[in-house]
Amino acid sequence: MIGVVLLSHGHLAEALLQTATEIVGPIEGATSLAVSRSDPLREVEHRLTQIVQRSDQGSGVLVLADMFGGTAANVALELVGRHRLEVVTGMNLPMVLKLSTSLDDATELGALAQLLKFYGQRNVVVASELLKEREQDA
Amino acid sequence: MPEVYFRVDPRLVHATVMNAWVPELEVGRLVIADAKVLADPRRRHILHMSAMDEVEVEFVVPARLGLRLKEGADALVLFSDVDSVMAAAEGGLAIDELNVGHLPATDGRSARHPAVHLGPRDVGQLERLQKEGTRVYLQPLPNDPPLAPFGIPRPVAVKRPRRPAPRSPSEGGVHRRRLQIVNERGLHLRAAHVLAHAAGKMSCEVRVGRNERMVNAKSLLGLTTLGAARGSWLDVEVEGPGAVGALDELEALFESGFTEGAGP
Repeated sequence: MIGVVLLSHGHLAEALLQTATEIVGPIEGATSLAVSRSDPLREVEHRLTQIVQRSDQGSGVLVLADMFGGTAANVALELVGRHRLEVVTGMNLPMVLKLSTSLDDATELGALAQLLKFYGQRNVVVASELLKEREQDA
Repeated sequence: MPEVYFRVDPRLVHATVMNAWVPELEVGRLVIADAKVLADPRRRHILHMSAMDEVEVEFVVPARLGLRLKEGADALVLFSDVDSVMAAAEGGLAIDELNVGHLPATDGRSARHPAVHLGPRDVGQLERLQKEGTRVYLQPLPNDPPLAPFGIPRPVAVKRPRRPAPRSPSEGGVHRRRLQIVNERGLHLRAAHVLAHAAGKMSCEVRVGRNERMVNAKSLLGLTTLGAARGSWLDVEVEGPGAVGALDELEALFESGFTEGAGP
């Protein structure tokens, strides 16, 4: 099974994982790591490396990071090539929920990363506009 | 004949249904059996949108459910309350199994499960359904065991067996924070005792350590071997029930210098 690490500034990652668990049940194989402002970068990289190694059961590790260009994502990118991992940024709750049903079947790390990106983006909409369009069409 | 599942859940189309039950039951449509929703165009639009085109969403009055379910894709029928289920049954629908998946704590209901509250009226109606041959159970999430609705809480067998339980009960895996030792004497015996005592009361696993060396925080002996002095940082890992709340508690304990206060 592909391993998953949720990575964020502060406690966002663990809160997302916990919230997702309340909605869909436990997400096996997913763990969270918080990056604090006071952590030296080298330290964060070291801890992430350990967690990635522990999470990798042979099929690689998907890192979901809170934002593109943020420290969490940048540290994860340092590991690309040294470990079998993909980094997807802009992590949101729909992506984490999707993990619960996609991890069991996912065998290809790159495909899983693309699926979650697609699903995460698909959930960002101006919902009130969609509703107005529907009400006008009706 | 399509395979049909019945669930009471007044949230109707929402995150748990779309992300947990639809994939679990492999249904192609959601049938909302609710007279009020059927008469409320905005509510229908919102629920329809919420399915994000992943399944069909249909609306019907409960009394007409039987006809609607004779053909078409496998379906999950959603009721807002037990009243709607009764209306469907009175309309001639045979309900083999009914999952009371969610009922909020209102109208004098009391908790039968954190997500399922039943009042005297619900209980009376559900008992009637059971007498008429419906197997009634409570199962908020697919990973939860289906429970008997009355009497001693016990698991009941239902037609869709639940998935194998995760290896350890967890709040979505392992949670970690890095916490600093702030009290003057560091993690000496007394402080370690306070920490081990607090960890011992937590139902989740708690591990503390540095680099690759993690020890069980419930073990005083393990903690004292860490030799963590003031100013050093420790990784704290929790896993299992109540993990995140435990992490908050542990963070407060570290910040309080294990009740000794921050050193000068």
